Amino acid sequence: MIYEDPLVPSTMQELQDMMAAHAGKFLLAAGGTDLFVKRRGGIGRGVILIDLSGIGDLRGISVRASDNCLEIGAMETMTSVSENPLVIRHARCLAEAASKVGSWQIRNRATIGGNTANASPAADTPSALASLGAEVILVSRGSERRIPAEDISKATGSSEIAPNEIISAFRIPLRENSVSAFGKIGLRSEVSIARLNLAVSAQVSDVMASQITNPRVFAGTLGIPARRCAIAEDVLVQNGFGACGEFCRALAELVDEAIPGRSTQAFKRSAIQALGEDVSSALLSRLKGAVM
Amino acid sequence: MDVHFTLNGENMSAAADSSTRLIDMLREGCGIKSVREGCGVGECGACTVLMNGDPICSCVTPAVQARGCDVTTVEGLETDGELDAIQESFVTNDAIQCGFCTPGMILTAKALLARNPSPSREEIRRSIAGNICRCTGYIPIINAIEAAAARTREENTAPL
Ligand SMILES: Cc1cc2nc3c(=O)[nH]c(=O)nc-3n(C[C@H](O)[C@H](O)[C@H](O)COP(=O)(O)OP(=O)(O)OC[C@H]3O[C@@H](n4cnc5c(N)ncnc54)[C@H](O)[C@@H]3O)c2cc1C
Ligand code: FES
Ligand code: FES
Repeated sequence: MIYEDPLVPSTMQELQDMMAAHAGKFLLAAGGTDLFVKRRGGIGRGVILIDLSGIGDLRGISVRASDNCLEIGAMETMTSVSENPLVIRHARCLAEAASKVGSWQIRNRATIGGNTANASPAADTPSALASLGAEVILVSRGSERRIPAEDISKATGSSEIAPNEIISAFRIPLRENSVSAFGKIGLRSEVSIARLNLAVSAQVSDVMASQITNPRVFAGTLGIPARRCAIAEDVLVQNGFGACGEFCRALAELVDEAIPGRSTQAFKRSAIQALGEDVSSALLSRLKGAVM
Repeated sequence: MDVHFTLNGENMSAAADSSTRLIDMLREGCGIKSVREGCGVGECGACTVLMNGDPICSCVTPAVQARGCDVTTVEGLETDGELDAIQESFVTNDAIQCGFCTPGMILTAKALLARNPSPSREEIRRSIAGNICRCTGYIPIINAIEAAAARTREENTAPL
C-alpha cells in the first residue's frame, strides 16, 4: 500500500487526539460522497483518512427537553433524517430536503454534517436548517461553540469550521405552532444537485394563519448555501400565506440581488416563483396540523 | 490496515489504506468482479452493493467503513446454485441487454423488495433512480421487479 493507513476513532476524545497528533495531514470521512468525488484520483500521499463512522456520539436524533430543541447528530444520514418521526414532526422542511438529496444509494451514505461542512452553494439541507433557526455545534479539543446555521458558510466553498473543529450535531429550537416546507428544482427529479431550493418556516396563531410570527425564508443555490429573504418574510408577516403573488415577487427580487448578470438569473427568477407557490400551498395545507 | 467484514455471509478480511474505496477492496482484494465501475462518482449505480441491507455506491464509500458490516453482492444472492427470484425475473422479462447495469440494479431491487414487498411502479422507478441503464429504457426492468415481487408474495403465502 502506498497510502497511509486510515484511523478509526471510536470516541470523541480519540478523534480529537488524532486530529491534534496529525494536524494538517488528515481528512475527515463521513459518508464519503463529496470527499471521494473531489479526490477521485486518490486522497494523496501522506494524507491520513480519519473515519468518523465509528463514533457513536456523532449519531442520534432526540428531543432535548432541557434545551427545548431537537438534536440531530452530524453522522445521521439523509435516509435516517428524512424518515425519522421526530424530524418529520418538528422539522418537516429538513425531512423534505433530506428526502430530495441524490439517489437512494447517495441518501444512505450522505450525512447531514457532511452536507454543511462541504459548504457547497448547491447543497439541500443548509437552507432548511437555516429556516428552522438551527445552531451548528462545533467541537474542538476541550471546547464547544455554537453558530447559527446561516452563518456557517458566507462565501462559496468556504466555511467557518476551523481545521481542528468538527460538527458534532445540529440543534433545532422547538417552536410552538410552527409550520415549515421545502421545495427544490433540479435538472433531474431524483439525482440532482439542487439548482434552486427554498425553505420556509413560521409560527402561526390559528388555522386561518391570521397572524404569522418569526417567518424565516431561505433560498439555496444563490451563490451561498443559505440566503435569507427579509422582504419575503415581511410579506408573510403583513399578509399571511395567502398573498402568494407578493411573496413570489419578493423572492424574484432576491434572485436579482444575489446573482445579477449571471447566465442563470432569468431561469432562477422564474423558478423561484414557482417554488414560492409550491411552498406556500404546502404551508397552507399544513396549518391545521400545526396549531396545538 | 486489515478490514474485517462479512461478504455474502462469509467472514472476510482485506487490506485497505486511506485512499481505498470499497469497490477497489471488493474487486482487487476479494475478487468480486460483478461490482462494476461506471462513472466512479456516485451517479450511475453500476457499483451498487448492499451494506447492512442498504444499497450504496461502493465507488464513493471508504473501504475502511465496511469494517464489521454485512456486504452483499449479486454473488451472495444465489442459493445452492439457484438464482434469486429477482435474478430469474430479470432473465425472463428481457431486462438484461449488455448487462453492465444488471448487478447493481438487482441489488437495489433486492433492497426495495425486502422493505416493501408490494411496491407500485412509481415506487420501483423512484428506488432505481440511482441506477442508470443505457440499453433497456427501464420498462423491462420495472416489469421484472414487479413480477419478482408478485412471485415472492405468492411463494410466501402458498401453503407448505
Ligand atoms: C451522485 C451524487 C448526487 C448528489 N446529490 C446531492 C443533492 O441532491 N443534494 C445535496 O445537497 N448534495 C448532493 N450530493 C452531495 C453529497 O452527497 C452531500 O453533500 C453529502 O451530504 C455529503 O456528506 P458526506 O457524509 O458524504 O460527506 P463526506 O464526503 O464524507 O465529507 C464532505 C466534507 O465534509 C467534511 N466533513 C464531513 N463530516 C464532517 C463533520 N462532522 N465535521 C467536520 N467536517 C466534516 C469532510 O472532511 C469533507 O471535507 C450528491 C453527491 C453525489 C455523489
Ligand atoms: S461507478 Fe459508482 S455510481 Fe457509477
Ligand atoms: S443492460 Fe446495458 S446498461 Fe443496462
